[in-house]
Amino acid sequence: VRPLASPALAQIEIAAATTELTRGELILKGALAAGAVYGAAAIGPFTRRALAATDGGDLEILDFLLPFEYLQVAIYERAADGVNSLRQKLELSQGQRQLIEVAGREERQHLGALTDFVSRLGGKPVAEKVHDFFFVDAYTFFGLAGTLELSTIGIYNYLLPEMKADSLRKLAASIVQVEGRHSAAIRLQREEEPTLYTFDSPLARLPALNTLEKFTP
Amino acid sequence: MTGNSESTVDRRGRVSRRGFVALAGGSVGAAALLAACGGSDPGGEAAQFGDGDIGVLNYLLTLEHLETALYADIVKSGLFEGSQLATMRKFGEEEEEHAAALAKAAKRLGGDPAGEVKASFELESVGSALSRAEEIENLSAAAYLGQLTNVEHESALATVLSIHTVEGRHAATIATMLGKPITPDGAFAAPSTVKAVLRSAEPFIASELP
Repeated sequence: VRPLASPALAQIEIAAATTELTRGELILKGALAAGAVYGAAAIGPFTRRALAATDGGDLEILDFLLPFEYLQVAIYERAADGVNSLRQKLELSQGQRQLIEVAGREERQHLGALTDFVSRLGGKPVAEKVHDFFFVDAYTFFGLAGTLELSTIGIYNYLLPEMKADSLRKLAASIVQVEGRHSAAIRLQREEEPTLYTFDSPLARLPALNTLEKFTP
Repeated sequence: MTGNSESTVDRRGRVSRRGFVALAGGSVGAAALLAACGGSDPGGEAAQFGDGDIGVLNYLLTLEHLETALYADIVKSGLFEGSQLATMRKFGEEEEEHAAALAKAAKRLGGDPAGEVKASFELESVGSALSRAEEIENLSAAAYLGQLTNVEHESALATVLSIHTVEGRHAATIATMLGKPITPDGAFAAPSTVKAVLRSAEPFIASELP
């Protein structure tokens, strides 16, 4: 399975990838049959490739999710620098600095788990894009971070039902709950309600891409 | 979920956990996946609440009833005022809406929604009430996480997903009020089994469970 040429997935690419699944399942069956005939040693690379083909949809989904995790890592790292977009000191309380540190660390772990998953499926993680965040104080910083967390929850909730591998579903579900916790804590920094709505709605691909574009010039 | 845990690809074409790990030839983001994959209920432990998705929905509905009862008690206790009271009231209303959505989802699948539960909480101070709320919210968030891969119907899954992160939000908010970590499990939330959740919830439930 070749890595996707474009991380900004268009609907037509998604449809094309979906048609790969049946073929992938056939390859997987072939791999298992080969293992049965030639022994377990033959299964390794053959099955890895076959599994990646079966999960062609999962690779595509991971490609879609990774830019959100890159952005989240970047925004918390950016705030941890301690200066705003005008290169002035960013005034943060101790609790706010702690929140930024914890959220940044956890987003890095999410990114690591997802990129590892891509590699295990035989794919190549999409590259990080150049980011641009503009904030002048803690209030505007947490506004940006809150927008990003909310969009990330939405896209995970949208893509989770499409995931093929149970292990990916479980990983994504364990991540999205943590994104929900980050989102609440960030909204509290702006004295906003921790729950914007009673239900966290899914966010479809196109509006999610619109969010990404706001941060990637 | 597949009823045959030995199969590699289930009937929806999804690769099973066991099959995936075996075929991938080792750990997949080892620590992350161990946290993420443990504790779910592939055997359908929620069956005591009904068949398939109806059982899952009724199990989660029972927990929503418990949370609704908790916030009702907290609001009535007179321990809270101002913005904290407003938050407790809001969370109680949200749990009620979650319960209504789950009941509707169960009915849509032809099931009878689980009835309300009688609950009892010892709320002696603001601190003890918040600690109890944090415990129940974390329990609920872990329960949802434990069921997310067990739901078959798309509409039921959408309902469960949309509530799951809100339970995480509630838990993080109360943790913030208590000055405790917002992510007690770290970067990857840990799921809980039905058995473990009910064992923790039972001391507060005064009525019979299915």
